Amino acid sequence: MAFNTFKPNDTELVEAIRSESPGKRRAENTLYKQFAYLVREGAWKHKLTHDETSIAYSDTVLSVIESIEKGRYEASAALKTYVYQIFNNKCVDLIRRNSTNKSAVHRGTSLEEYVCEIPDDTRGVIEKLMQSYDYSLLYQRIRQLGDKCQEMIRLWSEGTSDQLIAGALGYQSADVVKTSRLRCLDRLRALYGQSKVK
Amino acid sequence: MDNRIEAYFGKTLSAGERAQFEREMRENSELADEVAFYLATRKAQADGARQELLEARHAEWQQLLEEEIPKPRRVWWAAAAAVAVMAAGLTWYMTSPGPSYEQLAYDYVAEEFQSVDIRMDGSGDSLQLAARLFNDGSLEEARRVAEGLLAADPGNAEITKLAGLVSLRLKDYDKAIELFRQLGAREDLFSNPGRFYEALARLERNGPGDKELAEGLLKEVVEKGLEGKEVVEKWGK
Repeated sequence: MAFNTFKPNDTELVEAIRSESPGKRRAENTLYKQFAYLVREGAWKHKLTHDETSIAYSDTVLSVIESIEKGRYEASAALKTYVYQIFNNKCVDLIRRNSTNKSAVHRGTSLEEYVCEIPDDTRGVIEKLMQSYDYSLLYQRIRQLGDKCQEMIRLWSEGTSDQLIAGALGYQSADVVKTSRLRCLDRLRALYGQSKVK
Repeated sequence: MDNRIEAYFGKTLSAGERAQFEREMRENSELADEVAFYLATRKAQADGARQELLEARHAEWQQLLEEEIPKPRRVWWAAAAAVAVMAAGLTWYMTSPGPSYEQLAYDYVAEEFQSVDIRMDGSGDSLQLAARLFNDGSLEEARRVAEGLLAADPGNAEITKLAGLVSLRLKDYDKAIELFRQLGAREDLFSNPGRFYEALARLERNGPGDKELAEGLLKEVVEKGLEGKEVVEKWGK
């Protein structure tokens, strides 16, 4: 008789990932290891390199962790099936990106609710304008802003309310946060514009 | 940047102001671009932050896989030197900052004691059943089966071990410690994790004097080369 290594069931794993206990990180690593064999399978099935499927698998595990944390994962699907489906989609997305040289349009950010605010007849134009921006460069420019602006944009993108941002960053009110954010965005736009001109 | 953008997405414009803003957004390409930039920034930040997180976790996970690759066995004549290093390591660990023994024990139990593998070695159907219940997370049922088995065969080390693990998972530390203590006292076993498991249970219980007793047990595990020695050695690094 021998006792082997960690093999928790889905419920235990999900509960540990959802918790704030010291075992959370360990459970996340266990989740990663549990289905790591998919990397080799994915490379073979989708004719991708090992490095490509390896990062796609890490991306998958991160998405699964986020789903569990946000309560989007429902236990009706086995974790293995859930991981496999997401991984498969990531691989297909990767193939598409490789062939079109375009990044995925939607990555599960909370932008949809904002875009939905825009009337149908204008939404397409705004989305097209959005696609004209180089997101990677834009992010680099955000990182060049002052600490307070960076933090302000980070909290805002995470959906933190302006009231809470005011408390966290020491602004007097939510209205001041709004005004300050627009100033940060003006600064960012100027920075971004300069780099595009170069 | 037009300050109505914040109010528009914050839904604080009046109906009239909203309609006016939407009309302008349709007709004024500069305003449309400002709105697009506003949204693109939010998306760039979210995507960029996630990409950074992905890169960090990916590197961590690759490291994890590398560490899992089995290392070559050490030759026997290195054992004596290794014991000395282990003892020094253990001493160093006990006096240096880092994860506490309690934390290491907690992580170890969480990682290693989620499932057991009972090979078909004639252990008996009931023990297999208890192990299966344990693996399925049906801990109370596993306890009932294991305790029934133990009552019928109190000298069976495998049953004692499993019953102890079930108690540990159920956080019935007193029971687990008693069972592991009994197991550790056995001198007729080829491989005996009793002392090591008792130390883990004591560290998890963390009652008065438990930590000191656990440290003594772990020291004994290392010195006598008992089961769990490699883990304690790793903790000592």
